[in-house]
Amino acid sequence: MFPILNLGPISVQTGGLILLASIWIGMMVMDKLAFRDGIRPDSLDTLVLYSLTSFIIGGRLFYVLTHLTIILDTPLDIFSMNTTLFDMTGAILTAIVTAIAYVYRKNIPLGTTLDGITPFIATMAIGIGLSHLATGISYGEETNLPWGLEMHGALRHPSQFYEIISSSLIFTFAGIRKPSKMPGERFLSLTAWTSASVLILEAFRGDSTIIAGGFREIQILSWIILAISLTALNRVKSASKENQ
Amino acid sequence: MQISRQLRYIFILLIGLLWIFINKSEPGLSSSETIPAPRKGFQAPVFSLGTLSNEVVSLKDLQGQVIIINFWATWCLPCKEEMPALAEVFEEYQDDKLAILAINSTSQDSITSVERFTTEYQLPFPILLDRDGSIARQYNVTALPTTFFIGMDGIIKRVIIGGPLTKTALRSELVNLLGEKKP
Repeated sequence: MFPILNLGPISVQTGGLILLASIWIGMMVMDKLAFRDGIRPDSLDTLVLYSLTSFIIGGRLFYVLTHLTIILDTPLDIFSMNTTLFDMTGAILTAIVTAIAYVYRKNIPLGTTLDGITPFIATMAIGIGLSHLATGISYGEETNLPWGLEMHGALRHPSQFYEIISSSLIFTFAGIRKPSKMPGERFLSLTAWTSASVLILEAFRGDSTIIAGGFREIQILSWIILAISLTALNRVKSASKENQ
Repeated sequence: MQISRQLRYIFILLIGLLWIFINKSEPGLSSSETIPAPRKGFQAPVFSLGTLSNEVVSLKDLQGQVIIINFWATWCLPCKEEMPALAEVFEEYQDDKLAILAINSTSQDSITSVERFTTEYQLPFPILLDRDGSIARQYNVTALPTTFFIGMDGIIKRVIIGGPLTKTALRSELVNLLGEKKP
């Protein structure tokens, strides 16, 4: 675990650095594969950049809206460089809404666009796993298994390694494979595989949020995403068959 | 063919549901909460340190309060910048059972600078001196400032590496923590 990288007098948050690197690598992979797959890379780049920008702005905006009474005392904090003033759910929602708005406004085919950004998402998933490893978050449940790692005062499942291995496999077999003739299939396969792997691997995590009934929150969410992905995948495949 | 695909998908979803049920966890049985470690979700490691006026402050004595532990040094610019915000929130919330321990990384600082600093900033909370760096090591502090937010149950709720923390950031953390019921 290396949460901080000290370069002389400068301390860099390793997790953030890895995420930035994966954005850069992800965009390169996306562009390269777009050429191979006959998708216009410039519209994909713009889509990713708009989504990332709105992710940052939306995260701060939602934070301000949900902490309005506190922030009104010191309104200049709205422009603070402090990254703790951030709402992750709001950020994700804003990015999704922006992406949808861009696709509809530019009249880009949705399925092809989603297939185009799939390599970027698959690369980011590996980057997120690596950043979890660097920062030590998403640690595993205690275990007696021989491959358990000593972490935070106990022998634990190496859950970050599980995450990196599964996202690397998904990257290889779903993220960068050539899209089929059915637009959207590559993207839906990626979401199905990713949600299935999260559903399985969450069971080995030691920091799960437990909700009513003792269920793990992330497992419920990933099951819902898996169900949506499989339903959509079934429709895409059925529609393609009817067209034939 | 289409029916067999649908059946396959339904089977996958049923297996998923079964997996969720198998891995149900007993609420309140999180083992991490009993292990002392300097991470979110773990018991805050206990320590005792001397202040500038040679009083000894122990984390154990502050049980039942919300505690902010702030690691800092006089040469660290963001540490300096966030001190007034820490002082303001301390004055605002000290009656609501808030304790702030500002641990000076004395092994990388000098007592004279610390004395000058506390006189200049008129800090209302105790300044603890980590003379040999052992508490910074115990708390895995790799950069300054590093701030730990500890709940009334003694569990670390948030760790923020870097700064400067603003008054808004501090207040939004404290509103959640002070709203928690005591164990």
